[in-house]
Amino acid sequence: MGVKLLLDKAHVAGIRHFDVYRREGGYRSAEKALQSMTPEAIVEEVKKSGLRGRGGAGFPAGMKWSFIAKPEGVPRHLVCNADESEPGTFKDRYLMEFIPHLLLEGLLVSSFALGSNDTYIYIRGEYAWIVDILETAIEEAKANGFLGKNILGTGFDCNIYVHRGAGAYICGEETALIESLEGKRGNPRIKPPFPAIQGVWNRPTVVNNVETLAAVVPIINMGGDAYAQIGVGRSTGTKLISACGNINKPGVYEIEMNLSVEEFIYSDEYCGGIANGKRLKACIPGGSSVPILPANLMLTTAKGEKRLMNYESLSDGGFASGSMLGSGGFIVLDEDQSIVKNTYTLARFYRHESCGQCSPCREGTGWMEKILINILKGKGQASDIDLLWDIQRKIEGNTICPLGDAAAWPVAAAIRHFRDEFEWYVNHPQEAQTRNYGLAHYADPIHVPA
Amino acid sequence: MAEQQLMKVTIDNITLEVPAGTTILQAARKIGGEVAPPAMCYYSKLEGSGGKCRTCLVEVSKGSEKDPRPMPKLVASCRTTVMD
Repeated sequence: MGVKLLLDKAHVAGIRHFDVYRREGGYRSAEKALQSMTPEAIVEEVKKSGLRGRGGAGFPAGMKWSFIAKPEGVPRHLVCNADESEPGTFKDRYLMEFIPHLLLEGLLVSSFALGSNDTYIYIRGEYAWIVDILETAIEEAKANGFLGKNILGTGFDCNIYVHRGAGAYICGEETALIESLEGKRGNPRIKPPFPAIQGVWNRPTVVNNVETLAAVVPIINMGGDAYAQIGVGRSTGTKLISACGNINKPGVYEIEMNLSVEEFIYSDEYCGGIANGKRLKACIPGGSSVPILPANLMLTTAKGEKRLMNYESLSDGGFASGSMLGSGGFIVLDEDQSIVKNTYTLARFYRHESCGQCSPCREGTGWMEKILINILKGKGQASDIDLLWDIQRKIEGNTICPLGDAAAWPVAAAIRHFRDEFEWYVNHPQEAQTRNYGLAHYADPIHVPA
Repeated sequence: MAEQQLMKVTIDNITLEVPAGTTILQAARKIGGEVAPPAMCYYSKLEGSGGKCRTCLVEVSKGSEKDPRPMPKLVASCRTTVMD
């Protein structure tokens, strides 16, 4: 049983309400931060903790905070990115639904550190019921003097507003989120200028994920150094993983980042093994946009070491034999799943969600989808696989925002690791409509514990 | 406006000095010929245009010390100003 920092109290009855949350030790970090620390000291503490952005990119949060410009007389803003639209990721929903006050406490401390008097939560439109939960929590916090004017007698004002998005995946990208928050169409901006210089309404802005901001609470409570002790290397603290797919126990788990992937999938404490006694075929470790890995590379790295659930270990070997932790949407595929079909589903999603602003992504995602549906329906040609590879290479890195990369990586990884299966679809179009390729393409049968 | 600051840039091994605020595309067009990248969605008279079609992507081999972004990197030359 690992350390739990975020979901420790998630199942205390009534924790959703202020009274219970306060009785369980809530808002202690807010008192400590506002009454005895300076904003610079808080930023320093977060830097020391080594907290990395939990939204997907893994950028150090303390460093992001220190980039914020501080011109005289211009208000600054903190925006919480709760637009959790990555397929396979649902950790923020869980956090906000069960302990909304933890997020508010983290937002209050972070707002104080950054000097933001108006803080926004940009939440995806589908989470309508969570908007109600958050707004109730904000009202409660206001009634108890933890939000609003002159918080705890320190003279610091902070208001939190919940803004509902309209369901676009692209609005999870920080500059598109800012555009959407301003009331415009959610198109990513060309960087630079970065949001830390010119964000919402051309004011300095920091955009952070829900989990990142919630993690500020334990950092202030226990101190940055103690937080950095948890985990391994540069992956400090705990991470929420939302596990789904063909497993016995899907759900949100808080893990310490020295847990091995094998233990995460097979131990009863976490996923509880593959459902229906099947064997593991492949796994997408960090939400739909990260490269898919076959079972053998998922459990051990190319060097033969055990793969752990953290930023470094999952990306060990680069994209040739590794993947990314991403946002922590852990999708498990068993032997009955078709990789071609799975790749097509993802390509279709990205074609639909591409904002259409820049050419490589707008055109490329469309062509990838068309080629993949042809292969899937048995109308593919042998040259299509190379064509797909060519297209994804021309999208990656050439676009304004990372959606292009996110669309290219799953296709690239599927072809890299499962080319045999694509070829089988092309060469045996009739057969491919009736049965699955299964695990046959593995040169050595993969070892899977019982 | 303050004194125009000149910046030294090297494109395809040709070095020239341009005023600060010039885009990479404009600098390359000053040299002309094969050096200037093609561009489609950029129209110099229209403010805020460009950056969308990605035809004019160029590789910046070395950025400035003020810019924290890692280089080398592909950028849209019509929207990126030169750096020292």
